[in-house]
Amino acid sequence: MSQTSGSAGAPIDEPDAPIVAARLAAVLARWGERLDDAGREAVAARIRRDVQLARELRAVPLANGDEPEIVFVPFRAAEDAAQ
Amino acid sequence: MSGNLPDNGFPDLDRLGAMLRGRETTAADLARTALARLDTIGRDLNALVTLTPERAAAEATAADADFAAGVDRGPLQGIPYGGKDLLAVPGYPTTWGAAPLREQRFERDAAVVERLTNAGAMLAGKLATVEIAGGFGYEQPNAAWTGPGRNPWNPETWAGGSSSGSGAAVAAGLVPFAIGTETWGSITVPAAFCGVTGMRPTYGRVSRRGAMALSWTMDKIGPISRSAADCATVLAVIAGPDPADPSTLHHPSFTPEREPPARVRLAVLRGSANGVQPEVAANFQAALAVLAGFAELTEVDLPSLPFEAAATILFQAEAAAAFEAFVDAGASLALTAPEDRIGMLDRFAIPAVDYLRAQRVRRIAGRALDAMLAPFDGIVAPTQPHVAPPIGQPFRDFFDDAGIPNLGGAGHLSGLPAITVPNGFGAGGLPTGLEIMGRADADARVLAVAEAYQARTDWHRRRPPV
Repeated sequence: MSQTSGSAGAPIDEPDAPIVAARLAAVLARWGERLDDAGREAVAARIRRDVQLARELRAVPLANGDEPEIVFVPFRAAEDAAQ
Repeated sequence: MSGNLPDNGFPDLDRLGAMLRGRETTAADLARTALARLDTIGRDLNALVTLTPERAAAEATAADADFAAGVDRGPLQGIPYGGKDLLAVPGYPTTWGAAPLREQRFERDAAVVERLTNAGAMLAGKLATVEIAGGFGYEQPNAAWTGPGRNPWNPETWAGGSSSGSGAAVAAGLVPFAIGTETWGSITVPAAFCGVTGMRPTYGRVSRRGAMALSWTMDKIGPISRSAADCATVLAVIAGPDPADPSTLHHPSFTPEREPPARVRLAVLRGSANGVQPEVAANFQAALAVLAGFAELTEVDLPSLPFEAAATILFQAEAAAAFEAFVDAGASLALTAPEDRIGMLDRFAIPAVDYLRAQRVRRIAGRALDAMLAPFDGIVAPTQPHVAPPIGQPFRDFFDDAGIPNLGGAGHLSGLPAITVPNGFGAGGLPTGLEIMGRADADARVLAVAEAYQARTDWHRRRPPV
């Protein structure tokens, strides 16, 4: 029930319109046949929210050394398993 | 119904354990009671997906044999429970709440089920979930092939999601405890709406092996029961490292505290009771008065960072990746909620750079949040700003919670533990909840604070009229 951002209803800046259109085109290229006009508008509305969320994230200053919270661990099989 | 049990369900785990060990009842009796209640009340509430009588009978036979032989596997031996239908159990379908997956089967128990079996617990049924744990963006209660989860306090209202059946089954006394899962609110919301206690452990506390993956970096598994003490008992059994789930390998062992420290310090999320339903605000203020009896309270704001935006991007991108094949195959078109049939499509257009930016913000946000929480034993807020909404109505038509400060985005982005405890009743006589969230790995402290609250209140002992 809570899987939406509180910013979902925030006004969308006009400059985002080309980005929304480009993302919608990518969705339609893959699944356009599944969407009627109402479905396209519903997807477009969700894309507008996604773009707005990304805008909020870009407002956080990040330095080159600010790594993602992901830890990659090179794999090595246990010695007894490799033998 | 076993003659020694109350008509409205099961007593707490300590009492059940004493009854089993004192020969007042048997595991077989308790299993039969749970199966009968699930099969009748559980079906009426749309809380049950699949009854598991063969498994319950076999586990009851083993538990009773152990009691007879003097073998004691701990406090869950001979205790029936229900598991959310996202958990793999051989011999039965595991449907993830989704119509196109009604015949899906797995060959090995989920890790959490395996641990409960080893502890002598008895699986009585697989419990309802919103389809795909709500991952496709459902906007109203009718979003599972089993129908909308009905709330035992008023079946015309929703049980909450996505662990709908787990919340309703515990509230209605169908099982003494249940297992839920939470990516974003899926334990705490149904527990709060149903008036029971639900614990979301720190991310990585409980192995996710064999549970449906919705968001690899946000999914958690935890107990729903009648009290914080019972949640602690269950969590002590299901928590622990599992090489099959690397997220579990870096936590200190979980040991229940049962008593909070002599001097408890709690943060109160500023503004979290503004704009909520009036009864929710009143119950929250009353809960603060109880907490003030044993804790020092300090109003705080969360760090000014886009917690919700980062968590939403992470969750959406990971869910899209996890269900790309499902969507590609057209299976999503057979989901129950019309909005779910197209609810994932936008997420396939989220750029990888946005996902990685969210992961970079996550690192900064987690450290800022931990620094803010460091002086405290937890932070409290209303679990939800409103009581359970009615069945058959879009969520947005019931209540607008935009702009109300809450702990959801910050807690889920940072993988922090939280518990919801009942703190009164609101509109329509429906339960309200108090959320207590702690620092990473502070699961035991959060539970101890909740136990201290419940030692001074009796909201968790109220039962619905079923």
